[in-house]
Amino acid sequence: MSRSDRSGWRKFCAWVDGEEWCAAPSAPQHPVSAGREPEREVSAFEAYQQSRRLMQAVGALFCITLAVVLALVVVHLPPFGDPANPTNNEVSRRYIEQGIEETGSANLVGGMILSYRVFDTFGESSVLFLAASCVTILLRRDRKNTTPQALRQMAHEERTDRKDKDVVLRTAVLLLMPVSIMVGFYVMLFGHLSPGGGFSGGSILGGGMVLYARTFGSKSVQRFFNEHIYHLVKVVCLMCYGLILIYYVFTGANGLNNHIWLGIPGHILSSGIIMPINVLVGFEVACTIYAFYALFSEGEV
Amino acid sequence: MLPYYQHIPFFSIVLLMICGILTSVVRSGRVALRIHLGAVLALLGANLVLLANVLPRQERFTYALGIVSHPYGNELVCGPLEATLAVAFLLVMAMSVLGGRDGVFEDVEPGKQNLYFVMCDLIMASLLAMIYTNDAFTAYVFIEINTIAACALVMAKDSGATLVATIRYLMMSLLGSGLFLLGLTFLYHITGHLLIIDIHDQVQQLAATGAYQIPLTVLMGMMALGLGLKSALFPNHTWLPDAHGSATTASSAILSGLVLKGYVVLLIKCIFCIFGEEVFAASHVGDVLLVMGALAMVVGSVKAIQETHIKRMIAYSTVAQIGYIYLGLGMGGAAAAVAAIYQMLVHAFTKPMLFLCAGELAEASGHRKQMYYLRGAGHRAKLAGVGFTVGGLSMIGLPLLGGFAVKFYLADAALSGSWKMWVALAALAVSSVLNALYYLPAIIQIWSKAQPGENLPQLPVKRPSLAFVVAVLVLGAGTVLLGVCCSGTGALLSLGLSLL
Repeated sequence: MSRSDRSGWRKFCAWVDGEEWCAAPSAPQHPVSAGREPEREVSAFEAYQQSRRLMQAVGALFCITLAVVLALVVVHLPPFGDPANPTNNEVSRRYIEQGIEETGSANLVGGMILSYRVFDTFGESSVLFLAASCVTILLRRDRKNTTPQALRQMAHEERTDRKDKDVVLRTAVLLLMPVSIMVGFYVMLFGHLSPGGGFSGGSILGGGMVLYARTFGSKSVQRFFNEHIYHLVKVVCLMCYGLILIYYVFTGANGLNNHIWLGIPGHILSSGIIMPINVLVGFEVACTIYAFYALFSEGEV
Repeated sequence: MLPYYQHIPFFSIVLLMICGILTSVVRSGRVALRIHLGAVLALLGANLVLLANVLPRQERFTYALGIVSHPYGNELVCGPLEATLAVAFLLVMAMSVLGGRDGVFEDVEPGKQNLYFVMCDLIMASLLAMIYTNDAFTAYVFIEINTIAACALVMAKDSGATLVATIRYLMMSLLGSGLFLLGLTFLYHITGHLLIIDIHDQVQQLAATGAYQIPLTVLMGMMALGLGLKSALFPNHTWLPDAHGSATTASSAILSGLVLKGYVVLLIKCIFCIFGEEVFAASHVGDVLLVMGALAMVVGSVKAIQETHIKRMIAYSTVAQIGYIYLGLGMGGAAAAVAAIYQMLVHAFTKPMLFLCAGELAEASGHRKQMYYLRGAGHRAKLAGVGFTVGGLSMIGLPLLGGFAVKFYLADAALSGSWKMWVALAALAVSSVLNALYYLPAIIQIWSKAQPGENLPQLPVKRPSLAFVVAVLVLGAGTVLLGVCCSGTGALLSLGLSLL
């Protein structure tokens, strides 16, 4: 039969019989003990390289279509700032009119995200924790991602850095450090009174630490902030946040009085759970920002 | 005071997140595993109690998260459907982790094993949050958690292949999240609400008055496309085989069995709770999902046939199986949606079993995953061979197994006479044949002895660990039970769906 001679049909028959796999394994038949077989993904990547032109064309087409569609939608959306917009409904009115009374927070946004929508915000804080854990999985030094040569290189750089004392930089950082720490604490502690809060305050604080580590070397930061303290602060802050959330939600859902003292709006000690959460989130964010820096530059906190 | 069981959804989510946070300071991977399994099994019990309470009452309750509730704050919601999904997902999670345990300890660096289980905790928490949420933005927050943790599960093996796969997965997944978030922003702009029930009312009004028709249609498409991208709907499935095929066995099982389903659950929520069935049908986004699903069923299977790497073959089979879910969702109507949810459950049990068994078979063949080396692997690892056979036959659609029930329900729902019937029936027919064309040769391969001329090494019989036995037996029992008790499960699902 002429058809059976064609290699396509033969291959098909062989494959239906399960013989194709026996015929040509892509990997060489080395002994089993020699280790795992070469990964196929490399060839997939090469195939991708070849079809890059097509991919680029499809990608460009997709982007242009999306841009046109989005522009079309924007034209048809409610006009910006119109009082008759659907977003100006009873929900935002409640936040604006009764927010201070119900949350005790003079900062309306802070009050909203940390009391009405506190569950969402707990999720967002966990995203940060999660990101830090992922970076740790990826970058913390272990036998797979570090070579002795790289370690020697790092030690060498550390030594040259210490020798090379840049007076201007060091003086500037010594002057800036206290300011940045104070601003960080201010933004964190006054998050319920003025724009700011845990996320922004924590970033400023973490930024200050990164600045210090960059100038004086991470060894000098490890005198007051090492891996133990990092873990301790991170876990204690998130756990306290979680416990506050559980208490708040449990009493709220049951309609019980939660005994949270709201204080007088505008005073520093006010706003119930919002200030403590701001401080907890702030410390967590500061730790995480510094941990990102340390993991990226050194591979350890 | 609320009845005690109404607190279960909230405490399930928060408990898992707290476990994740605590696990990050545990040094030993084994302790982390115990914490994870303990928490998941305890919550499995709790959610069974919850199901036993809401099912007889046919109750669907909302749970306010905070002092001020509806419509100002976050809310959770739970009915029979949510509780059933939660129970199934928790069970599959525990079994996937249990069965892939040895692989995790082998593939992940010792100092980082605890972080692997942190990711498992957070993935489960985010899945439960997606199931139980009654707030569209909470859904997005937990999509974020799910995305990052899922990428970490792929990355944890830390080989070159997994890193490339992770980057592709991350990019595609973030594109999906972005589309969903943009759609949600538009939705908030034209409805002014974030709680699902209020959005629903507003959307119905908009549809009745005809206002904001273009944004509404586009955002439905964007949210469906975004969630479809994240659950590997054709043609956006290209990231899946790399990610699921190269990760450690437990990760593949969790990603295929559960992570993809979380987004489908959200899409079901979008269709039935946010937009409403009629509005969604009027937008014809469902038709696109139907066609994409049908194409996925064919293309995924064809790609699987071409694979010679067992885990990648199973991963392409996932693409095809996800197509079944979207076929059901795209068809419209309650019966088809029940079929889609049924497929979600069956696939959640079957695919992790296939991955676990494939991992064990590969290990019994000297850590080789090419089909060539798996000849006779069923004799070296008997239970894994049986599990793979049962899973494969279920995917083909043998009666008494879960896959048959799904195909039956899908075909039954398709018999409406419209053009969708032909698409659905043709896709089902072609895909069933194609499924058989790669699962049967694979099954034959693992059960046949080596030919005299073949240069295959003699390998010893591998004794399965107790954890693996338990996991495969439970998942296999789930596959069989879903096939045998199909009318009862179908009734439960349609009751749950009718309460949405």
